[in-house]
Amino acid sequence: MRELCKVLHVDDDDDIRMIARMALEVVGSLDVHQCASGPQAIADAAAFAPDLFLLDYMMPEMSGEDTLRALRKIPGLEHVPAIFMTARVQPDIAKALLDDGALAVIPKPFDPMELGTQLHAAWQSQQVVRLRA
Amino acid sequence: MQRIGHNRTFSVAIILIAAATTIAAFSAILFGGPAASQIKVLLANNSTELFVFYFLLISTLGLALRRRTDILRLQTSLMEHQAVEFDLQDRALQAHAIVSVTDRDGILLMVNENFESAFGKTRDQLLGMSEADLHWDGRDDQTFLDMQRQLQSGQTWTGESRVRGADGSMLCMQGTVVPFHDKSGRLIKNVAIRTDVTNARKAKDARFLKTLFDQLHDEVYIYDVDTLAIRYMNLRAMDRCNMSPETITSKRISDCDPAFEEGAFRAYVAPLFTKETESVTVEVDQAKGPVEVKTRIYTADDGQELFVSVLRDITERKRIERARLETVSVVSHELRTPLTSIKGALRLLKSGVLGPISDEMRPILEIADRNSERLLLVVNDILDLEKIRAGKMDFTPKPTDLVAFLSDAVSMNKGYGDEHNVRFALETSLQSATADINYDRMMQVMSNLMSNAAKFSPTGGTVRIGLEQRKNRFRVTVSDDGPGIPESARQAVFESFAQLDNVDTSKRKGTGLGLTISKTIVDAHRGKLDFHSTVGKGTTFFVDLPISVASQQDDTGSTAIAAE
Repeated sequence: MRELCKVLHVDDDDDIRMIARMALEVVGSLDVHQCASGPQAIADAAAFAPDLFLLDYMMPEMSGEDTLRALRKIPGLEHVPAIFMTARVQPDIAKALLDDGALAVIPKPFDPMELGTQLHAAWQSQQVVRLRA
Repeated sequence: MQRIGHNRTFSVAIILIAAATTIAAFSAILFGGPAASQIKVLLANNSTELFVFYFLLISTLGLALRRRTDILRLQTSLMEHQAVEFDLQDRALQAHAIVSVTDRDGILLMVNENFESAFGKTRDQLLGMSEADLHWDGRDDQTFLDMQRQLQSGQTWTGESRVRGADGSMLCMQGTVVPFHDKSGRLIKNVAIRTDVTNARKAKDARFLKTLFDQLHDEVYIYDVDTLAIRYMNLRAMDRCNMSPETITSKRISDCDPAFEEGAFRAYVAPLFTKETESVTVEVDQAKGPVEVKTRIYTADDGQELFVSVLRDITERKRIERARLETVSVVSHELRTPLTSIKGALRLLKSGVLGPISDEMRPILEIADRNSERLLLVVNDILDLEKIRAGKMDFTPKPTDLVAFLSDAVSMNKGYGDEHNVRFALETSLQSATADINYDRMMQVMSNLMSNAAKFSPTGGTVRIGLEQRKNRFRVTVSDDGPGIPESARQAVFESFAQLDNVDTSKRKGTGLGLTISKTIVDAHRGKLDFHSTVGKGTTFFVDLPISVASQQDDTGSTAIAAE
């Protein structure tokens, strides 16, 4: 079973990107590439070749969902799993995202000490599903 | 009548002429005079003429007498006829009207049959009774007092009065009362003729209401509780259903809505019959837009039970609710985003992964962390409350065993109890108690009540969770041995952002929205949230929840399971 290593994180908020970087790199020991917008993520994604997308749900210009759709069109990234983060905790939104294939929906504020663990757990459950299939 | 008068004058005239002629003739013979000799000559010389004279005189007198007898007979016959006519008139009056005779003080001396049946009393009961006691407001009835005053002054009274009918209901009487006075002008008695105009008055009121109802923006449906046959629909309602006043009476309420399901409807209106609630309200998405239907039972005067449903177009309200929810959601996002950074930064610092924290720094970091947590709780609570108010909170109930539910509540809140060094203890003699609740929402209520109780409990104390059955309800209680809530603070307890002054500030503060949210949730379960408190001894908050309808029907089954 492959370990989760590379995470592409997209969030328009500079401070949250900073907290998330520490949470994932320092606490979670992950290789993180961060982008401030959907278009930037689309530009960088192929070169970074992430194992997982961590996307903010609500972003100006291009939403998290739209970003994911565009990222999945990039050759080689069609099956990269995604986790959303959202400050709008509406059950119907979370349900729609999960139904659309998101691995998890993490509400903001998130706990930086737990974020890495949450990502690893989601990644592993997805790997299990994949192995069984 | 004029003819009789004329005949009488005629016969009297003939008698007078005959009498005058005879008297003149005899006086002339007896007392002499110029005419006497002529008469004497006439009598002596002409006995045939004298005979004719007397014959004519006697015939005339006879005719007059005969005429007089005829007239008397005619008069008698006419009087008899009048008596029959009067009797007929009286019978018509007695049959049509409510007739009574009272003395000067309003004491009943005579009543007719209509009077007896209108007031539901026998003649024996009525005679001797004061008419005032039959009036709606009794002896203080203003109409009765005004009427008496007018009659005493010798004037006839005409007007409407409200009286107490046979079944105690209000009757409206239109009447005329005529006073009778003796020669000295003293009032002796009053004759009253009344007609029951209650129905006419009601019809008038109904016409007024119909006009009024047709002006309404809301739709009104009135239909039979048993057959669901429509009795009335206002103009708006008929517009929606494409019906006319002529066609509605042959329709049932199900004809107004293609999606109408009688079984679901009967279940939905069931609480109206158990008197649990006065009205039931449901929101329905119809083809023309969302509507709210409020239904209640109305008992008509004839005892017939009717459903009255008022349907309101809530398109605009829903639009505002959506906009409001959207605003709340956006505001919540705008608050949560900076909070994510603040909390995240503090958490990383506190954890020490970024470097060691000095002892001087730690309490300052704790303050920042605690307050950012509190801010987050307020944001969450506001969002919850707005969700409930916008009808977006899921309250779907399921039959749930409250004993198991409370046991879960105790274990789920144990951590909070430990934090305050307070123990939660479930104390109940019930084995099982099924109520229809939404588990998550009611757990939110329990967590709120239990955390409040823990917060106010003395260190090392116990918060008791109780459950008992009260008729058709279960009562869940959460009792603490805290300082108690003074009666003067009762109103404020359920208000938003209410915080009692005497809280030990070293313990964690709440958001001030918890009880408001809890009450809203309990209300949505058709339950009741309230409290008893004794200052210095403690407080017991209680939640009354209706027993599950399903469990009431299946009572024997659940007992058997509990016995096993």
